[in-house]
Amino acid sequence: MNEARVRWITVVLLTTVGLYGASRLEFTSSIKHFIPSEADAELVELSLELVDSPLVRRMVISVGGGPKRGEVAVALAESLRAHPEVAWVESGFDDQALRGVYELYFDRRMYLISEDPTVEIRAMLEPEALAGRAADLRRKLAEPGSMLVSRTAPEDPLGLFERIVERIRAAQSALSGGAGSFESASGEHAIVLLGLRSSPFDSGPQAKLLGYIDSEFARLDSAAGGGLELEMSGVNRIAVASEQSIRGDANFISAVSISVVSALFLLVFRSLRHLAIAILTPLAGFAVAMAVALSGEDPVHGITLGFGFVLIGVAIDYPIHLMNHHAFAPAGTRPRDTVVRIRSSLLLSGLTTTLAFIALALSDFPGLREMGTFAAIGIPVSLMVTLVSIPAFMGPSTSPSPTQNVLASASIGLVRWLDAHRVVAAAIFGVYGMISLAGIPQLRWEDDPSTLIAADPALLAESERVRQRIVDFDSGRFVVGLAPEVEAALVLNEQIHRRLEQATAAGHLEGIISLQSFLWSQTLQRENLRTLQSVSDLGDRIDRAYGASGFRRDAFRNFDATVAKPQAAPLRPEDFAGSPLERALDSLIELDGRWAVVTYLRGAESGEAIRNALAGLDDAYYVDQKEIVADIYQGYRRSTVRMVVFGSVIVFVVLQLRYRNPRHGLLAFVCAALAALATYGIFGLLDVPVNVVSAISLLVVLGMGVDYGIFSVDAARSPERLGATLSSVLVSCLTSVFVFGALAFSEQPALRAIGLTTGIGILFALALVPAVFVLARRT
Amino acid sequence: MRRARTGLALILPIFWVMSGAWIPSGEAANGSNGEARTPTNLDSLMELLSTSGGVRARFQESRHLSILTDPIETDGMLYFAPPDRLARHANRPGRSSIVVQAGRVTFGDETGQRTFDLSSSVVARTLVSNLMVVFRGDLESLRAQHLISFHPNGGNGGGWTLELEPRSRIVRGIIERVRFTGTGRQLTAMETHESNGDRTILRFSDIETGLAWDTSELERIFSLDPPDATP
Repeated sequence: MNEARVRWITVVLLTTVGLYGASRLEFTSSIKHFIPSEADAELVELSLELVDSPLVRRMVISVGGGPKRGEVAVALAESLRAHPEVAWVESGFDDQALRGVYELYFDRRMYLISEDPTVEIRAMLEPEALAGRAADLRRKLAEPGSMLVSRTAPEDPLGLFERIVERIRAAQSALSGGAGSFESASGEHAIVLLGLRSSPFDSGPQAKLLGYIDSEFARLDSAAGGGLELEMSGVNRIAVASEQSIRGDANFISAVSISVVSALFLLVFRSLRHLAIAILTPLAGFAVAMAVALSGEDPVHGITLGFGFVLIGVAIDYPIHLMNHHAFAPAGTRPRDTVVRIRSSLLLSGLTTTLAFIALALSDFPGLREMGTFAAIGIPVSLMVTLVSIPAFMGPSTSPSPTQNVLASASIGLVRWLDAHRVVAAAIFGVYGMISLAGIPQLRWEDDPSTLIAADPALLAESERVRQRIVDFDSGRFVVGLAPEVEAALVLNEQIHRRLEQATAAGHLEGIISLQSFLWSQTLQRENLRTLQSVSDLGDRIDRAYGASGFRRDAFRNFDATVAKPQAAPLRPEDFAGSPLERALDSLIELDGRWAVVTYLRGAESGEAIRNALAGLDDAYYVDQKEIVADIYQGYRRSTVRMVVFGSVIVFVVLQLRYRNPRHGLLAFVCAALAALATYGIFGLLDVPVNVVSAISLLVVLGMGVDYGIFSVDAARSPERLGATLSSVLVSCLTSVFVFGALAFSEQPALRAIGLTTGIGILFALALVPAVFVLARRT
Repeated sequence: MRRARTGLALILPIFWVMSGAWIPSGEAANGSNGEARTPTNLDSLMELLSTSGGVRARFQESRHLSILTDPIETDGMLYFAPPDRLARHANRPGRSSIVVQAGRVTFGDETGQRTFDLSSSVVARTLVSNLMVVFRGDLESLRAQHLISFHPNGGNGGGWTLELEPRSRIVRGIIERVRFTGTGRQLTAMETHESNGDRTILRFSDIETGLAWDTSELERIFSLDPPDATP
């Protein structure tokens, strides 16, 4: 095949794959991506399910700043109802909602009297209690709300419906309202709640929705005279902002990388044509890896994209080595002849790097797996492009540039000096060892996954302000009851509710938001009715007690008849469908054939206090997502470190097999191993926290460090390549450091961790190259 | 139908406001604004009411409920400040207050206080706005919401009767009709007939119209901390 055809095929394939990736480009910033997918612990599964549950698919909108806030909030809510991304909107109890509550509960009032019916209902029907209730009713009939009471009293003399309404009102005490729009606890802000159809981490539709809310509010505010203030709380806002930040970082990193690498190529090769040819390699690796990642249904994580840029730093090493060696080849050498000369070194370095990333691809983290797979595909593709396509774009060798000559001469001079001062060479290893020994024991691991993705502090503060305007539940902490059937789940929830009420009374909690305020088990509901029906002289008792307070005898006979023959069956979950309280059922979730009832907590004193409150209740769990996920991360961070060690062993074995010389194999390996250890040593000494991403980044250090080791040992075995090899390593190292250095300036902690770890690690590896060469040559 | 009517009873506190709201729409009972004129038709009555200005009156309310053997008697003071403020402060049998202003209804008694925004309830908004409409003498809006019957009782000392029947089916499910009786510019009574047969009769006395209050007085009157009950 002639070189022109190779060029065309390369360009066409690269363009096709690139266009495919661009057409499917969709990425996410979900923290769920960094949670293990195959964890078998029940709580972890539960926590995973709830990460993307209706708990998270929710927004709170606050409108303040003027007397027209209520009207604007209601108008905004109306406008949002028609938006395709909005599943539901609640802005207040209007006439229809109030009627819905009445229709749901009034005919079922005798089912929902007491959670301890045998004791409480009997106590309610004692003569003294009835007399007190009659006097209370009489007083209420003279009060402003008397028309309400007079309407319901004939059919509900005991105020059973009122008890239910109060129970619901207490559960929603966050939102003072009544007949109007929802309000903040202070009454200074109108509140709108809305549910999302898509995941809040699905940035595309969420960004459109947020834009729509902003524009609609601006229009309504303007129509209302202006001056109103819109504030919002929702995971989607943080997710969209994070994505924008990632996009910004990606643009910044790519711009800086391209600029610096261009400058470096101009300096070394005196030609941007070399850069254009060399950049094909990482672009090809990136494009193919991206296309594979996007061929599935799930979007790629933004962090993976950032990590993909790391490939530029790794993969561009191969054409740099090729071009640099080609420059030092005798004039007129064909590029493919240069390839043959260094092919074994390139193949070995590509193989070891790929193996290191394959270890990462075996991770249980979807995010880590994605990164590992991305690199494990991108690296060999880049290597293949270097060996097959790049030579087609290069011409016969001419002569090295002055910079290449200077770098080669300086490298050779440094090696010669080290050869004459072997103590210094040995001392370098010693210094690395000391840094490692002194620093690694002081390493500070950070296992909170939320620290991997940066959120705008202003957004977080706004979100917190809005959350405080309603009495919201603690984010990420709740109690879950699990049962095989709905009825069993509701029975369990009654026990949980009782325990948590006791904990609240004891001061361990500020309060709870429980499904129990809205729905009881069929068992408890029927027990209520049975207990009421068991009072044979119910009508007479009421007549006697109420007659003494001025009520007509027989005024409440309808109630007696209704108790004997209720007009409705006990309340069931399905009865809530289409009612204004439908959202209350969001806390009843089907999980893989089982039913979970979630109780939200407010102001939990500690996890231990809640666990103590639930002691002895089977299938009732206290879930602290942050705590659980931190435990998971700790486990996976350790697992990742083990994988790094495992990958290192594989690489070591491959090197031993390749060189069939223990010393050469060890020297090719030690460059990477010591660089990785010393990097963590420095972090320990400087108190730089490390996380699971730092651990993954060690694989990059390992892969590139081994490359340097291989090139150094191979150069020692072929001394005529010394100048070309050392200058190649220096240029490729500088390229990588500039790329990773840009990552270290990212606003995203995860990308920053990659940048710092790899940047420092590669520099450490570079510094070992001359010493490795000296020691390898001696053998 | 029964469900719909009873469900709406949840917002009946607002209706209660409405019932008190009509009170000051009459004229001065004891002549603080001088000579009384006799309205001969609805237009002239509304014209009279539109000049009422600030109103203060003592009220006595009798609630006749089917479940009680005797009516419940309530009395207190009522205040109106144009265009949209109303306060009803009851002294007997217990102290309670309702204040309507800026589209919000606040009521309080010994058990606490609650506030409603009228924007989300069509019924409440309609009824409370009716009150404002009458105070302003806005006949057009009144006609939009009610069927109106005006009966001048020429042979009875210039007396008149005004009967309102809500046009809204939902509102009619609660309030069947409201009947005002008065003499000249005097509103002497208001009778509210509910759809369940209960009725409420309000009688007014010591009415003063054409009042103007300064800012501090307005704040005091239209708050849940009622002023002295004595007019």
